Amino acid sequence: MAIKTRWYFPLLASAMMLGCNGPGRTCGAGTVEGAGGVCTVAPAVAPFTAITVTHLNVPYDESRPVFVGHRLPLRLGITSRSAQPLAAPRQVTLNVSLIEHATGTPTTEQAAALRQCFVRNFEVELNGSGDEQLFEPSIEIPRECLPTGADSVTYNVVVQVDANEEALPADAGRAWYFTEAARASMGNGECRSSMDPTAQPDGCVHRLIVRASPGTDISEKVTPTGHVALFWVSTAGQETRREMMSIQVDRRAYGKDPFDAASTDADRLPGMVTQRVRIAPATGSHAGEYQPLRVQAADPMAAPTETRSFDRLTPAADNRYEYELFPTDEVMGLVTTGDWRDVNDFTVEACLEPSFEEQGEDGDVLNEGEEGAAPHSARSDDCRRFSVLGVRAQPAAATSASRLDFNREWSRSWGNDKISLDARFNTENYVIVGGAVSDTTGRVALNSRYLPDITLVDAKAYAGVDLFQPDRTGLEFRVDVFGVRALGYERRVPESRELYNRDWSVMRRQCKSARVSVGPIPVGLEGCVQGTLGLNVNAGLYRDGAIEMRRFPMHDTEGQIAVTVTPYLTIGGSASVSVDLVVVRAGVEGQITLLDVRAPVTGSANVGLMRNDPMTMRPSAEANLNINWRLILTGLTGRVLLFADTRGVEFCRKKVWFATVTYPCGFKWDRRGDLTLFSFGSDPETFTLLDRTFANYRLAP
Amino acid sequence: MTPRARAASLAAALCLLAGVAVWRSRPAPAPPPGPRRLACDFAPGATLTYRLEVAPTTGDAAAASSLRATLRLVAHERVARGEWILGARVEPVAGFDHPELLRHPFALRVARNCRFEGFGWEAGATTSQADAVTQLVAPFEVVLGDGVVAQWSASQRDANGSFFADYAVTSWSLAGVEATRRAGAYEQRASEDSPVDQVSLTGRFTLDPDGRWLRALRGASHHRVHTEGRDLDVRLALSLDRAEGLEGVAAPSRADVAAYQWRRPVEAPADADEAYRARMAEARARGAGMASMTPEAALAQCLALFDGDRDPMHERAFQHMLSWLLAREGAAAELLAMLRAGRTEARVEALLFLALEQADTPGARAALIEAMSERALSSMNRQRAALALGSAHTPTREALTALRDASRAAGRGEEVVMERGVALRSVGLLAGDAVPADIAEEARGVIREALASRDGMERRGGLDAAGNARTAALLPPVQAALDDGDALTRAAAAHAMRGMDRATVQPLLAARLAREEDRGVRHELATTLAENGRGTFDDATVRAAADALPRSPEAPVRAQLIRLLGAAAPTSSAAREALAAWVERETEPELIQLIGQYLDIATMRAALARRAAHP
Repeated sequence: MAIKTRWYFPLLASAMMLGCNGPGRTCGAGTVEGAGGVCTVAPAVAPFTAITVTHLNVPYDESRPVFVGHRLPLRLGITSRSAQPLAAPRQVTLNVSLIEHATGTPTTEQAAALRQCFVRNFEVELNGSGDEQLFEPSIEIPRECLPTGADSVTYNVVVQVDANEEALPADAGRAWYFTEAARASMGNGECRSSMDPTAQPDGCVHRLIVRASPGTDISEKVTPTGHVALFWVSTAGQETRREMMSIQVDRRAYGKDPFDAASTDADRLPGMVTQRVRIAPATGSHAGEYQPLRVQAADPMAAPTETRSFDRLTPAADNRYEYELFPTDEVMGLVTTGDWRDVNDFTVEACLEPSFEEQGEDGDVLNEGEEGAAPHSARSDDCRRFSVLGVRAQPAAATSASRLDFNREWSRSWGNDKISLDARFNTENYVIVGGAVSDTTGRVALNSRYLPDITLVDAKAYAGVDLFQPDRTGLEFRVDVFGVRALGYERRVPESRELYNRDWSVMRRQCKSARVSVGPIPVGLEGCVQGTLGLNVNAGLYRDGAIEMRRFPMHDTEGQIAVTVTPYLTIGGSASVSVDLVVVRAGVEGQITLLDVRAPVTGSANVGLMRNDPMTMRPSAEANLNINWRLILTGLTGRVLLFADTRGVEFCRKKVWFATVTYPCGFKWDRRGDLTLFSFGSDPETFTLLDRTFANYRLAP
Repeated sequence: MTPRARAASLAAALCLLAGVAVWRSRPAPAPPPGPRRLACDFAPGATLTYRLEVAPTTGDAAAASSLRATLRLVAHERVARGEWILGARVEPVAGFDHPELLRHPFALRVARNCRFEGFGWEAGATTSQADAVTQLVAPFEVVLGDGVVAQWSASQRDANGSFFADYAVTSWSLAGVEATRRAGAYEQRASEDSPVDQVSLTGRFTLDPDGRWLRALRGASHHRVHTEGRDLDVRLALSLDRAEGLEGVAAPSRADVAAYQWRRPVEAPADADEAYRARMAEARARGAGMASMTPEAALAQCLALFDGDRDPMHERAFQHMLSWLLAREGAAAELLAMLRAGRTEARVEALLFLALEQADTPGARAALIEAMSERALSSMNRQRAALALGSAHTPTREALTALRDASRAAGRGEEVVMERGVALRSVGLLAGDAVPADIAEEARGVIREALASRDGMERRGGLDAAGNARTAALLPPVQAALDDGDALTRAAAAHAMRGMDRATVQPLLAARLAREEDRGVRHELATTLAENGRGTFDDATVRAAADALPRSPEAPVRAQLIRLLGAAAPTSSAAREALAAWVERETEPELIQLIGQYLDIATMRAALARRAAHP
């Protein structure tokens, strides 16, 4: 977007106003005489009387180049004033752009020829109090700032109140050119580069040498799902070691051109990147002594691993991944009996280790008063740390004299504040003196602004044998799909045997649409969710003679449950928002896999009941129970992007020999820009959540 | 000379020239007209023609093209309070995707202060037509102040909300009064989830000196459309000019207007019906040329798309079948014949029933009715047909009759029982408040009958159906079932309340939770409260959930209660305190971790310390 040079317009207007005031006239109440002898009133009062950039700092070593596609740290102090106190802060749109540096004061012709490039808009909430408010917008230098063939361009910063912003009176200053010319004319007289509010204004002239990206820089942001990490002291049986917690990782690659039409590998990195996660006590004498943790392996069938590697990241987007973290044996030794046994506060560190030399942001420096490494540096932004509280955990006792329990719940949330999925699977399996029960449920809910807010599936399968009251033996299934209870089936099985084998599945679709208008311009919004949801049940309830081979033939009676229950869903979503104007259209488009999951639970239980145990003269039982529960899933994957197009010629870029050339490669809609809103990249995962066997276990009431 | 000095010199020179020009052209300036009361007033039979233009200004290609139309007004009569009834018609000139929507005569009731008090439409006018016209005209509405004032504010509204506009007269002259309009954000949105915010609406306009509305308006609007992650700014330039002598289409006569029905000037946004019709229209458009495609070919292509696509929605396969069903006469019956003959692949059968449901043509509904009792189909497909029939966009009496009959089918076999249950639950989808009243009432009758059954399973089927209906009309029998002696029935009753009015059902569910002894029912009560409350919970609910924790030895029930308290925690200190206190007593580590998702780290650290001190 071109930005017009306007530093002499206010001056001209002021001069004209000063010179043109005519003699006073008599006008009605609330009016004054205007041009042409007519009475006029002052324009309606804008909320602010003035908005001024009073502080601009580029915490960057300006002798070093700033690279296209990389971040430029910026700190802005904005002082706004209003005639009357504002009831609430008001949102104001500011533009940041760059204007080619010119030594001294250029002539009008020279000024008009200076290169300018738009960097970004951002919104600030201003309070109008006259106090300076600080903002640190994240800025990435767009490709347009470096003309084809140029090695580098030196720029100054320009900050403007958006031209369409009505927060200011029409005649108020809106643009600040932090140039030498403006400094000479005192156009930026109030601006100081120092954070110190008492420092002398210096005009905030910062020279930024923009060059082509020398390579790729990667960074990440890590968000834990909670504050508690569980160290499972023991997990009987063979199931996967239980996770201690899960984290959400947003990775970003800088320096790539997301619109490079000639490249089919826009997301390929120059090499491999390894993800490592470590843990250390946060306090005490062992603070900072990091030990590795494990994350799930790329191969969903493999055990957790200490490293995960990847070589692709979608440029100009957050690439989101979810990882469950597992402690190593060394960590478990330390937290149970070793040096960390008394430690409860820990720090978890997640780091990216690239096989290639990262490039860019060489000049990042700390802001005044900050300590540690520069926040955005090619070599210091690959690690993130967060605090957790460690809890030594023991699975609830599976056994007691009267009961044998194998229960497990698994839950996971994906997404962000705009779209999220909550999945929860649970299985309860127990044997008591008088019978056995297997109860499995799965529930997945979706919350989103434009996809339907809905419980996608809620399925339950229950099988129970009651040897004391055989008429209470039975099966129950129910399935809710898209918020509708579609199936509810229950069957009492007083007879000795029941076999139930059914794969119940439906495909559902739900769209949430809105068609609104801005004046006569239609705006269409639509989100759709569609997928297959089902419950596969293979269950048998047997008693006595119906059991093929009785495990407890010496007992009075025996019951058996043999059940395989698999709740499953494969579901996707799409979202679109379109503003179809005559010359402009903009919107959101994309499709994502919401969830692809199967959670087969296979279990069997045999209970032999002695109605009157000769030893105790009370009922007793002997039981075998085995249970295996696996979870195979792929969470949120896919990409949704925002686009804004104008009708015109489409241009692409490609490399010819050593030069990048721009060429027309289409027509009709010219994509002015697009931006990936979210890119989810969950890996397929397989968990063995339960795998246990108990044989000949004696139970007494 | 510096630019500044050059500019100053230029300004001085211009001022001098301007001063000379004024002095020479106005030897005896007339005294300016003073402020006066502003009003819209017309002469009977007066005809006014305007050129309207709306041009997007977003992007560099601004105003390369725009929406242009002619507006013709005829003043018919003055009614009470000085309001005028005008006959009106818009003639689109360029830029509109659906110009036919605008070519519809209407009446406009203009108040004395020029407010558009009402739009009138002839019988048969559609919402789309009304919306198209009102949304084109509404941005040009100006509202004048009362009395002799130079500045005033007026409340106005458009399709997305109501707002205050500030007006100020900038000049009084014989040629007309010039004024400005300036409005900001909506004071109140038309609907809670409207994604559109008004940033500004500005304009400078000239009123007709004789009170005949406007002579001209130049303005701009700026709206922000909120999307999932970023906002879209829509900026429009608005322009209106009186076109004297321009011949246009005739506005409706006084006799025509007398028969019009008056509605509010700005209608609500298009409803779900229109969105659905738009989707079907797109599917039909995609299906152009598919009318001759045989069912074998359609299914083969569907299968290829299904297998060749990793998209879990199977959108392309679904859209293909949908378009084919809409394009080809008798396609639904042919598809049913293929299913009956076993000539379809099992993996796409669920998709085929979804396509029949979404197509919602009479043929598709007839095929689904037939499929429900078609013994050649699998039981699963008969159940899919029942669910599809209840979910189809158009509720019909035929569908209800078929579902009712299927829900009463005789037999005790497993398949019959399941099919009966799915049919009864589908009846619930025809009993909602959005369904035509006669069909809904009949469906509710079927459900009430099931709820009165002595068979527990049928009663629970009736509760599920009532829950699917999500209507308060069925609350009394559902509420009664909440105290049923059978735990499964109580759980089903709780679940049935998930979509009912929160303020009504939350106290009922909380009271039941406070005294419920059965673990399964407590679990269902907690789940339903969390789902129904959506983050808004009264104190009694928080108290009931906190009290139920120690009474729930089963971990899954406690987990659900913790989630319920966690959902309340952001706004309820009682919920936060209950969770922190429960950390000390919780025996399941995973549930301690779950609590850690809802409390801040300092609170959690303190709670864990207390727990460690009292193991």
